[in-house]
Amino acid sequence: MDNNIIEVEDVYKTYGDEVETEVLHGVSFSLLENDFAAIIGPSGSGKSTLLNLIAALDKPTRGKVFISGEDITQLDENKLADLRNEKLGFVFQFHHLLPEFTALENVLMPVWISQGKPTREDEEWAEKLIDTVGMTPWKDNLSTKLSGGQKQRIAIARSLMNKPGVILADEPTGNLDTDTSEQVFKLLRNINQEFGTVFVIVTHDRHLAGRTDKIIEIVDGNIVRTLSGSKTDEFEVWDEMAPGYCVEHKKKVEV
Amino acid sequence: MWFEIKMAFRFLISGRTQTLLILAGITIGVAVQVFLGSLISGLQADLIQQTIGSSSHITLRSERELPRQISETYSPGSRVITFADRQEGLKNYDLIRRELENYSELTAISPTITGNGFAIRGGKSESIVFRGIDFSEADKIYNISDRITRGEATVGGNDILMGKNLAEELNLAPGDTIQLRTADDVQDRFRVSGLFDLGSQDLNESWIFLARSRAASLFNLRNEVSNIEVQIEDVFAAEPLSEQLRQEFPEIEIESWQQTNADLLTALESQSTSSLVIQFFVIVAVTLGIASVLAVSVVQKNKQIGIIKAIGARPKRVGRIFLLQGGIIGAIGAVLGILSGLGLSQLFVTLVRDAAGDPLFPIEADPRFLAISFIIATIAGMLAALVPARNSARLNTVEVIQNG
Repeated sequence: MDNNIIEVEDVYKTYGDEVETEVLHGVSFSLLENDFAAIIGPSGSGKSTLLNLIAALDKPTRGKVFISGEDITQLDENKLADLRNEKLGFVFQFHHLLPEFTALENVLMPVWISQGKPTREDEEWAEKLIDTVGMTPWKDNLSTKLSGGQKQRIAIARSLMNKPGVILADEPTGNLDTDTSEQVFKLLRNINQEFGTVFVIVTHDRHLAGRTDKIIEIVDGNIVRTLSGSKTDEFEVWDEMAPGYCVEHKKKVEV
Repeated sequence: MWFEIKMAFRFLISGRTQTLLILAGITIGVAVQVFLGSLISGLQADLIQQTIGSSSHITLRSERELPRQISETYSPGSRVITFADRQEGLKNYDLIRRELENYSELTAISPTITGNGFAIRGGKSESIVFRGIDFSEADKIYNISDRITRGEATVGGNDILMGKNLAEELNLAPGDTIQLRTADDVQDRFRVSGLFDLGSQDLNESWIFLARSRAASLFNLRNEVSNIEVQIEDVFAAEPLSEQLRQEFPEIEIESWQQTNADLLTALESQSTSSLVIQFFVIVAVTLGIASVLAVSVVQKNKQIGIIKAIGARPKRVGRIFLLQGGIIGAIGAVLGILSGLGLSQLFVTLVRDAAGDPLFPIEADPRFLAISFIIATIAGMLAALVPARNSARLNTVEVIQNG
């Protein structure tokens, strides 16, 4: 409990004023230090909504969300902004770099926001991160002059800039071809191992999810399965990769 | 603030076309404002200069009036004497002058004896105004030495100066002698040493400058003058200074040029007001222009706003980026506008000339007016950015992030 970096406690989320739609129906889970987790589920299952709640971009209708022991549902807009800047890193599906700025400037942006003009150390750190994601030759390119995979690498470097404890990634490989996806996934994995950063990756790619340490499967606003630990048996892995309802049917057949 | 400034500048630079459009709008607006303002204030300064540049700014005269006998008729059993009021002279004028010399803002103090009379030559008789002066003092007010058209500027003994139109009427040239008579029928012969042009038909047709001592004997005044004329550095300080003098010399009537020229001042004031109204609406139009372009730019920058908010920029700071854009562009536009406005004024002065090829009037660019234009344009830019800035601060981050 004390080591929980992220703790989601019985969270409900309802959208709409006139026609209310409940997207999450009491979701709870927690993640520990060094966790490398995936949230999977079909479109419209509420997985992105859940990620936005953890990301402090949105507030739950009911329930609590703790980041490093702090209940973020109690924070005001400004505190939430500070929290996102200092403790969280973001990688979005559409990479979301600012087109007016170079790759290096995009990576430095979290520091600009938190402290203004970057110091020499900040710049060195940004360049090290760019080197880590293998983008050094393109660091002075405007972000519009980069390919999709390159943009995503820069977005990953940016998410690490303020050394956050948690990185939240929404379909980080959703827009990329297979080879590039593989490289980006490996990059995330390496960062998890090197810096001990907690990762929460929202994806509908079950192959990708199968290679994480922990899988939270969400269907229609409920967590239907939480799997963790190392997998040895190939069939077991396949089972985990199969959608929850298939496993249910398989059990019925076996019985 | 570093972050906001950096973002504002980069957004402005990247949105080149829009930025140039807004900049052009502000530049034109401010240029019109500066040109119009300078034109009007130049015109007014010129009018005031023409009206009072060479005349008394404050005139001190005695409050009391003396009856003067005009005619006396006898009939059986009665005698009718007709009187007219005549201003009594200032007796202790030397004392007053010494008091006045303590006011450093006074540039000229000229005790003057004035009176009416006639100039007679051949069969012609023209009504004239005697101005008994001390030349060096009166010269500071009327600039007589610069305005001599013929002859020399000497006043003293029997030497007098005469308005050029009056001389024309009487067919006089410098060196000629002329018979002058006061209203009290005292007369003497004088020598015209020079002719002057004070720039006013009225004065040129009637005025005669002669030595004060000579005028005193002509009008039979001992140790007194008709009035004391005063000029000051800042013409608009005349009224407050008059008020001050009224406190000090309660027994003296003190009149400022503003009282004498109330009509002119009313006209100038309404001119200034209409000029201000025009300037105001120009700025309003410019502000609306900036506001609409910035509103569009906020919509275009939705994605960027969403990203920086997601990675931790507080809503207020995002709003500030757009406020700054308005301010920066307002300030740059103001500088360009002021420069083009001054250029336009210069062009006007160069191109629009009177028949003699001289500028109609000098155009004044008051630095204070320019500074105010600059500040107004900058504030207008920020005001214009207010609504777009608020919209940007309120932008829903989640929607922007998820919809790519």
